[in-house]
Amino acid sequence: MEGLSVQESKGVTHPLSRKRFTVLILLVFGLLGAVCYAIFAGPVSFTSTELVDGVLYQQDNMAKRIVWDLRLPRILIGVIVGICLALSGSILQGVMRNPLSDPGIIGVSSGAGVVATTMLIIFPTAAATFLPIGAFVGAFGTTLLIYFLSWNQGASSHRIILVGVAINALIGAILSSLMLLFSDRVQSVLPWLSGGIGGVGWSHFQMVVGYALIAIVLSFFAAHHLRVLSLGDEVAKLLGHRVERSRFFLILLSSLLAAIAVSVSGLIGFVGLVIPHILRMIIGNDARYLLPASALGGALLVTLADAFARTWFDPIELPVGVFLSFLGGPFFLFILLKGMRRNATS
Amino acid sequence: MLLAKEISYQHSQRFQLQVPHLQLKQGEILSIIGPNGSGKSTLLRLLGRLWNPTSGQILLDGVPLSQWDGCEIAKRLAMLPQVHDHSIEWTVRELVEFGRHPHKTWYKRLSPEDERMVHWALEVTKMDAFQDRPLPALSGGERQRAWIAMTLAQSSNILLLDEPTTYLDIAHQLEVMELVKTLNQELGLTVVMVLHDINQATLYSDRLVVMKNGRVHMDGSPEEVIQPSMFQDVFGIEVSIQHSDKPTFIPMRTCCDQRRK
Repeated sequence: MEGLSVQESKGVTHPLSRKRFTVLILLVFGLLGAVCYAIFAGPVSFTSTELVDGVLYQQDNMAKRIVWDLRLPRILIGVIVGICLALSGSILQGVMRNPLSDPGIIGVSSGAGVVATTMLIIFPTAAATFLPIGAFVGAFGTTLLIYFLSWNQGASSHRIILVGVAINALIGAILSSLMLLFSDRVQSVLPWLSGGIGGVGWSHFQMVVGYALIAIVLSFFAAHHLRVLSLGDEVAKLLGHRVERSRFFLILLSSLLAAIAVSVSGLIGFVGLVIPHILRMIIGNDARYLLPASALGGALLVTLADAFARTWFDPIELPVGVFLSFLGGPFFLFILLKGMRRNATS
Repeated sequence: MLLAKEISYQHSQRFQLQVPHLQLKQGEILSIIGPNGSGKSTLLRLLGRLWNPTSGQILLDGVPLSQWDGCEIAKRLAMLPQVHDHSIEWTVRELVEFGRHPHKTWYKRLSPEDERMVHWALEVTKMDAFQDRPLPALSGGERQRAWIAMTLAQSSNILLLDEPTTYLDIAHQLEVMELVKTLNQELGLTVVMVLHDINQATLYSDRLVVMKNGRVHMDGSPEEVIQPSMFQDVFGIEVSIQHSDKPTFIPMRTCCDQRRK
């Protein structure tokens, strides 16, 4: 009886539980803040009343055109891309048990990219509607290839990275050859390859929003599967869990997420690697908290980075992918070194 | 109960396991001993369906393992393999709740029955005081008890343990062995374990199976099995055997004439 009463009064007392909730709440407010900032930031500035009037009432004025037609779809797509990249990264890292499995590093994104580029160059008419599907086929095919090539009585995480890097190089070569062969049509693809969401409009939003909603809803189910798999394949199997089925679902889902991001924003790297990594250091590895926090963090990062990338370097607009790589590389190194030092002293 | 019939398992070109007949009796503690590479763990993994035999069958309650549904086996037979991921950050309770995985649909909350079993598993392993501690904050012995609690929450009547005392200091080793004994005596749990420490195997088991080169070399009570000739044949060592309540051995020297293979 004593044990029971203790257990009831305690509730959730995981040492990380306060941190988890604080981080989630901070991320929600951070994201709201970033969205507001992105609406106001830009070469043309508005007061908030102008904005509300312009957006809510059907007047055709400057505020409406700039905010409604240019900034808002761009912000929403930034949010979607951030969510998808970060979720894809954290799911892939969980299922492959390797913190380096980022869709950008092991070639999942470039797999999506190569199919998307082919569509853009060779079948530009079909690309308008089927680009996300094409990108998904590319991403999923690449992920499966990596997974099976690194299979050696269980997918070892070292092999996954090695195989992934090799595949990534191979796909890079294919991409380059495509560009050389169709050098006359490459101009339309180039900005896309460096990764950016400049010039997106409501049509792009409509193209991806359906897929994104499906993928995000499916991600709610991913946490349970990731948790069971983190017991280890053997223990999971001994508990009667269908390990292979779970793993297949998770790989499918992370490819879909990566493909959605790639189809609208091109090859944006680092979000899927950095966001889950930082959050894991703060709130731990439990997928129930890591997945939602990653989604929020990814959205926050891409929205904010895009707002900076398009305003800080006036008159040129830096693609957010380039900006993120400039920022993400050194920042990630800083985090790693700091983490190492902390581990060494403790 | 568990019955292995004519099973063989081809591990590699060099190693093959062959067990014509091995039957588990209800309520016994059976320990599998033998030198490295003799097939102890292989046999346990076959019994626990982590691997499938190349030929032959393993029957659970008269039905071949391959025809059972995964969750239904998990309700009857629990196994704790040797390696666990030390990066899992859940609390003890969260881990133990996974033991209820075969009993419930995953999106459902724990039923009162599940809660009761989890509570019982924590209590019997004396982990109830630690239930809200995260796994990395535990000592090796506590962590092993937490994992055993998870397998107990499955409420199966057969428990397979692969070297449950490895990497533990001697006090924690005995703690785990005594827990196994308690579970066996008070709950009638049938236990099969692979052990390296032969004296512990003798002290805590009703029956010993000695493996050598993928074959069952001897199968019997500790008194029957713990003989100088067995140590000479299987391990290639000379021992002196002390008879008290249960026989124990002290290793003396290796046999020069008979190299271990």
